[in-house]
Amino acid sequence: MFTPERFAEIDQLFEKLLEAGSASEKEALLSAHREDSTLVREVQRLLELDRLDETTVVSRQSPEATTRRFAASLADEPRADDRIGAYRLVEPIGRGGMGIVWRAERADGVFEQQVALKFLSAGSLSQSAVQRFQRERQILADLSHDSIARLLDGGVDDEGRPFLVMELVDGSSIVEHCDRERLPLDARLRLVIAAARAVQAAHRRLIVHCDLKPANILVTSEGIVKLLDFGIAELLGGDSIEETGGLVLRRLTPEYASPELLAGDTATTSSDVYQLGLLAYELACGQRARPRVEEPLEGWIRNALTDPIPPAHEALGRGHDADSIATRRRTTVAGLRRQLTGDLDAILRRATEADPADRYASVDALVRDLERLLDHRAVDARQGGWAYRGRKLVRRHPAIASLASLLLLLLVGLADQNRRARQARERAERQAAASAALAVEKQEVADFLVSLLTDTSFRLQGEKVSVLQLLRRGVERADQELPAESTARTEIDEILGRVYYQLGSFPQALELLDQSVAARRAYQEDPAKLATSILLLAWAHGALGHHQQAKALLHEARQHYETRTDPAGRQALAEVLTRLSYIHGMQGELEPMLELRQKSLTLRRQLYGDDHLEVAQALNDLCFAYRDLGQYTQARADCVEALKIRRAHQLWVEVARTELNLALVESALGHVTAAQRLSLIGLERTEELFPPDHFRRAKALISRSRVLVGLGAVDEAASQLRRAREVYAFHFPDDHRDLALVARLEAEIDLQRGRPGDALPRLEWALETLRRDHDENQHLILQTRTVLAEALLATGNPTEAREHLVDVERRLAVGRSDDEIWLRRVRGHLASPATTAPARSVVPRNG
Amino acid sequence: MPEPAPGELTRLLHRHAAGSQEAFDELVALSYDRLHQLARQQLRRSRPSQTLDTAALVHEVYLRLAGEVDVQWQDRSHFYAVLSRAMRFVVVDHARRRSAEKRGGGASPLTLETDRLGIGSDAETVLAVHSALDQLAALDSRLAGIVEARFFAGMTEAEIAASLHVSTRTVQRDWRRARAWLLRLLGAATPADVSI
Repeated sequence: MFTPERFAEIDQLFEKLLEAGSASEKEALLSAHREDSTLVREVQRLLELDRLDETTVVSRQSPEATTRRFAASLADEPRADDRIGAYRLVEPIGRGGMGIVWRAERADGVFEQQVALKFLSAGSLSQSAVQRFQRERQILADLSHDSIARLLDGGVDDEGRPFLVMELVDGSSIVEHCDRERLPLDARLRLVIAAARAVQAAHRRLIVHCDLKPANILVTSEGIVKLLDFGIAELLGGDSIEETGGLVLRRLTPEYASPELLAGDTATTSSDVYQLGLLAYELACGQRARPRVEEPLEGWIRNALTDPIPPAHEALGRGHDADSIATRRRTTVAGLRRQLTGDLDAILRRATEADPADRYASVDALVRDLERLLDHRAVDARQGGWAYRGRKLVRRHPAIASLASLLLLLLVGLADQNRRARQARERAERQAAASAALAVEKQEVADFLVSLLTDTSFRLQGEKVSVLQLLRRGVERADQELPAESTARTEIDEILGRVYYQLGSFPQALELLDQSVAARRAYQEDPAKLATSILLLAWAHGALGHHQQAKALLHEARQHYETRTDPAGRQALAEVLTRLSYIHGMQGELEPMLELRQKSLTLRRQLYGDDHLEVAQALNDLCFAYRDLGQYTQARADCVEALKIRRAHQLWVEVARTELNLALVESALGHVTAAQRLSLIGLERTEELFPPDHFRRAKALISRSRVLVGLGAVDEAASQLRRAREVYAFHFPDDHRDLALVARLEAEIDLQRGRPGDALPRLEWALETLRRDHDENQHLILQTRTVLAEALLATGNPTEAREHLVDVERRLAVGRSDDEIWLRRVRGHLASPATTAPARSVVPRNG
Repeated sequence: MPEPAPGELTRLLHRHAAGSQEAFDELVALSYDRLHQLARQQLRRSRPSQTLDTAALVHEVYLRLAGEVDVQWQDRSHFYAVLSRAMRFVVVDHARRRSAEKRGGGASPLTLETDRLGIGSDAETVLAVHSALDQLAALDSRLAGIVEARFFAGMTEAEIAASLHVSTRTVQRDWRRARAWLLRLLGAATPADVSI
């Protein structure tokens, strides 16, 4: 059809035209080739084809005809009984800003499933929006939370209409529910908290709702809060700035839109904080925070942006129905007015501040304050956190709004409490102020630091930016703007180091925390602050497997905290004891490990009471200790108690970990079904909670693999171990202890697959790695040696195998362990004819 | 399913990276088996719609194969080229069978999860794309590779960019060219009088 030369000629011109900016530029290019009319025609044809929307179904005959057909198809409204994908439409149940919603059911009869099928007004979907729709649909589909209506499916139907399939929620709007049930104020706020928790879970995955309003927040007959349309508004948001403002407003509900959305800015997690604030406001005082929207929209928006929201107790009196509002809250008007002033008023104001930077920095912070209110504790909103006060100051003095100066403000506050270090600080502050004066900074910088400290997900200038990118920027800026010797620098190093640590980026955390500890030692600071820094550094060392350094630091911190009698000091001591026990555990020093954990548990029971999460943590640790000592029955008891506490607190991250631990214990006790079930639940939960490359996921995969290997499900175990390896390669050095465990499990898989040759080098590597910082009696070493012996047997080396087995048996049997399963495994091999050496010189003591 | 000997996959990848066509073909055959098996499983699960999520398949097989390769091996680009080709064969084979069944009696159409050409992906179209792609490959193999990766393997622009060590922007530009050319070669809007 085309010769290569002709193709190159046409393609070259086509490419130039694609690159050409203006119409006149294009015209010039084409007219330069006007003597070759076939060339020009071919190129124009390609340009036409390029212009075709990718969602258009192009027939192979004529693009013009199909474009027309496509446009015509849009006019066709869907009807009941229409089949859309795998679903059959039943009846329309609503029409939202985004299109018609249908109740639908699976048409294939595979499941009896009723769903909500939502057509999106196709006119509002640009070509790029469709692409993004495809991509982000998957992200939303993975968003699994009890209080978020699931996105089940979606696509573009035969007529070219994009649609979404969501979980069908049978419930009523949160406002209706509260009024019908005549819920008192605290019960209403608990529902807000439930909704906010779901929002927070989504924020952790960088999904913003940005259209939270009563109609989108339902309560089922069982009293479960369900959020609808999560992430949908953003999914449909335009790409370009000029598109965003208008479209977002048309799609969203102006009454409930945050000021930044009204102003046409991009939605952030902070917009959701605002909308939750409006929701709490309306549920509390029975009035909408904003007047109903009226035309012209521009005027209404202008007023909405300038008029402050009236305090809730004033709004209550504004209407004529204050009595019935109070009755629906089972109180009197006077009683309700009292409840609406003070702390609740402060919380509502903080959540609905016009400037996002003045609001709660995260949904989590809002939830915590609401909980404090319900527990009758002092709320943050009334005291004004340092970040809030700092932010207000910065706003009054925009010229000093820089990272350095924000820290300066922070430090001024700290210096008041700390006279000893005052002089050094003031010097540092002068330095910081000098560098701040040099730096002409934008408002975002102040926002940046505040958000950085409190939330792991936010956007900078509307872009999704990873926290790691932001941290890197933070460190760069600190390097440039803060003198290396200043106190300000020490503070920021510590803050950034702590965030890196929380994100699991340990080498970066270590570097920064190392600097901060060195600086604090040099300044001879307040011992309490130094101890805090030392603890952080010890954690980072511990996470990187630098056990000796971590141990030394923890001992230093322990000495300090043993002298403290204040609750904070005692709490820190409990934490030090626990961390120290971890390192003993790593090094196979099991008795000190157990003792430290028992001490820590006792201390925690005293400090917090039996049902506290801190106690659960200590129980979980003890469970580990008993497990490592092979005392599985005791381990199981502690683990079950820990799981009970954590489930009651709905702390799902920890529930997942505990389930995985319990799975390993059950597996060791030979309770196969329980182990299988718990490990699967634990893994799935972890996968819901953490992004794919998080090390927690990798650890969960390893735990699951251990159970699977025990069950002989080697294929599944092998693939999960591979995924775990990928994550570890990203986060940890090549010789991380956990990788030795991975190698051992892989070796066991090799053996079960009949490839002992592959298992041998893995096991040798694992042993070498473990021995670097583990005692020879450590169970991991003994287990690895047992598997090594099995590999040696399978490769025809019974003599060496026997040497391992005899020594392992001696170590397992002597002293502590009642590790029945491994002991039985070792003895089984020793008893088998394959290992029976001519002279049995070693007799097991307990044998 | 034939399992490669330990180290075999790594050896093949190194030879392929060094330019061996034979190694490429072997790798494609090996990936084909894996993809084919997974695709069958997937289609069994989603019987009524017959939708093939090619991107998920490719990713899954990539993970499985990557697990068998030496840790030293860092370069994914060759791997993805292999998988895109193999996926194309899986899809085309499936389309051929669909098409044959259709001639012999009714059969539900095959859909690719990610139709990025905007031409639908019924069996007939898939076969037409397959042959048009051969023509395009003869003219510009790089453009053909991009179509292969996007249309058949469901890779994203970012993934393709990473695998080719070029910017996403370059891939986007090349994709526009590739797509227009492919539609052209498929015969869309061919004027009867064109003869070159």
